[in-house]
Amino acid sequence: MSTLRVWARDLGMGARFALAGGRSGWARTALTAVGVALGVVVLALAASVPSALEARAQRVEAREPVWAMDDSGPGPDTFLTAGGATEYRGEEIGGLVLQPEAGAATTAAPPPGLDAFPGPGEMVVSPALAELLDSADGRLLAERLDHERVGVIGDDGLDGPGDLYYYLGSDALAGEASRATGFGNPTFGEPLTAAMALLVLVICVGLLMPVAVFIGTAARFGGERRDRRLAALRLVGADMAMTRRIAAGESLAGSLLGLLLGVPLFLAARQYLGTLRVADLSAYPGDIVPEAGLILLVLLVVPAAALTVTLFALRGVTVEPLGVVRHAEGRPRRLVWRVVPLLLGLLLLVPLTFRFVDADDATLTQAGVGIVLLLTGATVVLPWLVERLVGALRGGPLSWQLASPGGSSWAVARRPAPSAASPSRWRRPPPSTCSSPGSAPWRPPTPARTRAATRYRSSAWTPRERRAPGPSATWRACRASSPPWGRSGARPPASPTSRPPR
Amino acid sequence: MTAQTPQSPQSPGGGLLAATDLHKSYGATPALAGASFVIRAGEVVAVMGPSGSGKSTLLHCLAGIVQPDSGGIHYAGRDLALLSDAERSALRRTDFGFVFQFGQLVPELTCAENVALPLRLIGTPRREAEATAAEWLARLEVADVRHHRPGQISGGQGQRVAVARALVNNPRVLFADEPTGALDSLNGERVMELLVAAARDTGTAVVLVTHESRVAAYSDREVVVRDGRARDMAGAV
Ligand SMILES: Nc1ncnc2c1ncn2[C@@H]1O[C@H](COP(=O)(O)OP(=O)(O)O)[C@@H](O)[C@H]1O
Ligand SMILES: [Mg+2]
Repeated sequence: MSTLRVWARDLGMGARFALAGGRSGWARTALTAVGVALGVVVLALAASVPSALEARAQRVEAREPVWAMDDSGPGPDTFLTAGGATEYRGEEIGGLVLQPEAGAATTAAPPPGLDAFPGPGEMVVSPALAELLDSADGRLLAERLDHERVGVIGDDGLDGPGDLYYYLGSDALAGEASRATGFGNPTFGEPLTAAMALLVLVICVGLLMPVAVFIGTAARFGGERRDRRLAALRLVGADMAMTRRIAAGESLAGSLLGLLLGVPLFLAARQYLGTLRVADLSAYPGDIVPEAGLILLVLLVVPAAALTVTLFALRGVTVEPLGVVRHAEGRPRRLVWRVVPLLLGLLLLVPLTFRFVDADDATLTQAGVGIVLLLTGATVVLPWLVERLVGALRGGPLSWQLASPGGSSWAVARRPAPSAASPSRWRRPPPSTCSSPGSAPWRPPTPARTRAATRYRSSAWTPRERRAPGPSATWRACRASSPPWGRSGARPPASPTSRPPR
Repeated sequence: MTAQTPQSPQSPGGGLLAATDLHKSYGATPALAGASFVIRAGEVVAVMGPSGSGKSTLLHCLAGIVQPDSGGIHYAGRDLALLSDAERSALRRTDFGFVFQFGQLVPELTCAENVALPLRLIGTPRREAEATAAEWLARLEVADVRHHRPGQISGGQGQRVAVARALVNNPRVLFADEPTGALDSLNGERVMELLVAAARDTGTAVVLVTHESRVAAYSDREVVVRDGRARDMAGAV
C-alpha cells in the first residue's frame, strides 16, 4: 500500500472510532468539536476586527464633508455646514447642520444614508438616536434637539448600529459655517490603532484560554476507553506509528466537526455582536467578515492545535498490546513554573494602578502584556489549585476528582506501580464489553479466583515493587494497566485510599 | 511480511516456536522461573496449571508481547528479543492470532469490522476484507451477529467472533488464553470444537492456556506449568 493510502486508512479508522465510539467516545468527539468550534469562532471574530474597523472607517469617511476651496463662492451644488456634535450623559452624539445654498433645488448629493437634504428645521436621526430620544432616558436630550424628525439615517451613513448621529436642515447658517461641495473625505488614518490591537489581543487570549482548557479536557475524556481500544489494535498488530495515526484520526474527526459547527456559531455570534454596544463601538453583522488569509490560517491552525494536543498527550504514553503505560502523568503538578506568568503579569500591572492617567502606547503595551500574562497565569495555576483542593478533600465525589485533568489517573486508579510508569487510569471495563449486559456469563468468584485476587494485591502492588529498578519499564509495566484480557480473574482494588503519599 | 512456508527455518529443537529457560518476575514475584516450551507447526498444545502459576505470562512471552527477564524465544528461526516493535507488530498481524478470556474485541466496531480488522491492517481492501470476515463469521456460526457491536452479543458469540478474528489472516500460531474461561460448559465446548476444527483446517498451531482438563482434552499434547516452570506431561506427545 502506498504511504498515502496507509495514512488515509489509519486516519479513517480513527475517524470511525470517533464517530462510533459509544457514549463516552461520542461525548469526547462532541466536546472536542464544541471546543474547536468555540476556538474557531473567537479567532474568526478576531480576524474580522480589521475588516470591521475598516468598514466602519470607510463609512465615517464617506460622511465627512468635502470642503470647498477657500475662494469659491456659492453654487447649485454647494452647501453650508456647521458642527452639531454634542454630548449627553457621557455619550458622544455626532451631528451636522446642513444648508444647501440652492435651497430645495440643490444638485449636491445628500450625505450617505439620506435620500435628500433635510429641509430647514427638519431633522434626520440614526435609529439609535431615535431610540434614545424616544426613551425616558433621553427626555432632556429631546428637549435640546427639539426639531421635526422626518426620517432615519440608513445604515450606510452610520459607523455602526449604535451610532448616535443626526442631520439638521437649516436656512440660517452663515458666517461661522463652512462651505462644502459633497461628502466622502479620506482624511482618517490607520483604523487599527495600537490600543485597539492590544484590546483585541487581550480579549482573544482571555477567550481562548478557557477554550484551550476545554479542548484539553475533551482530549482526556473517554481516555480509558481509548486506551483499551488502542491496546486492542496493538494486539491485532498495529505498530506504534499506526496507533498514533489512528489516534490522530480520532481527534481530527472531532476537529473537522468543530469546524463545521464553527460556521453557524460564527454567524450567530456575529448577529449577536450586531446588537451589542461597547463604549461607542458597535458593528453591523455584515461588517464582521474575517480576512481571507487570517480565516484560512484559523481553519488550519485550530485543528492542527487539537491534533498537537492529542499527539502531545500520546508522547508520555506507550500503548502496548496488553495495555497502556503512562510515563510521566502520575507526577503531581509542579507549582513553580506555573506561577511565573502570574507574577510577571502582576509585576507589570500593579504599577499601572498608580499612574494610568496618560495612556500612551508604552503604557498600553505594558497593560496588554500584563493582562495576557495574568490570564495565562490564572489558567495554568488553576489546574494545580484544583488538584490540591481535590487532594485535600481526600477523594470527594468522583466528578471532583475528574475535574482535575490529570486527576483521574491518581484519584481513581493510581497506586504504587512498577517502576516510574503509572498505570492507566481505569482498571477494567464493565463485563459488558464483550457480552450482553443482561446475560452475564460471569461465574461467581470461585475460591481460586479470590485467591488470585488476593495474591495480585499483595504481590503486584507492594511499595517494594515500586522501588524495584527495571531494565524495561515499558514491557514490565504494561501489565499494570491491562485491558480486560491482560489479567484473568484478578482485580486489584480501586479504592481511592490507595493513593500514594505526595 | 515474512514468507511463511512450511520450509521456513525451524527453531532450535525443531519446533515452530520455542522458548528456553524463561525467567520473568514482577517485582519480587516470580511469574516464570525457568520455563521452556516448544510447539511444532500445526500442533495443538494445552498449557495447564493452577491459577497464578505463570501460564498467561508464558503465553505473552511466547507471543512477544511481554519481554522475559532472561531466556530465549525463537519463532521460525528468529530470535524475538532481536526484533523491533514494528517487526513484532508485523508478526502479530501476519503470523499470530489471539483469543483471550474476554474483552479483546474493539467495542466500537461491529463484529464484522472486528473480524476484518487484521486484514485491514495488512492492507486488504475493505470489501475483500469484509467478504473474508463474513465467511469466517459463518464458519464460526455467528453470521447473524455480523452487524452487532460486541456489547450486544452473548459471551459465547463474542468468543466465536474473537476466534474468527484470530484466524482470519491464516496465522501460523493461535494464542488462546482461557478462551472458554468466561463461558458456561455448553458454550465452552462448542467454542472449543469450532476453534480446534478451524485451526486444524488451516494448519494453525494453537497454544491453548487453560486450567480445565475438559478444555485441554482438545489438545495433542499437554504441558503443565507449576510455579513458573513448564513441564511436558509424562507420556504425552
Ligand atoms: N502485570 C503484573 N504485575 C504484577 N504481577 C503479575 C503481573 N502479571 C502476572 N503477575 C503475577 O505473576 C504470576 C503469574 O501470573 P499469570 O501468568 O497471570 O498466571 P496464570 O495465567 O497461570 O494464572 C502471578 O503471581 C501474578 O500475580
Ligand atoms: Mg492467566
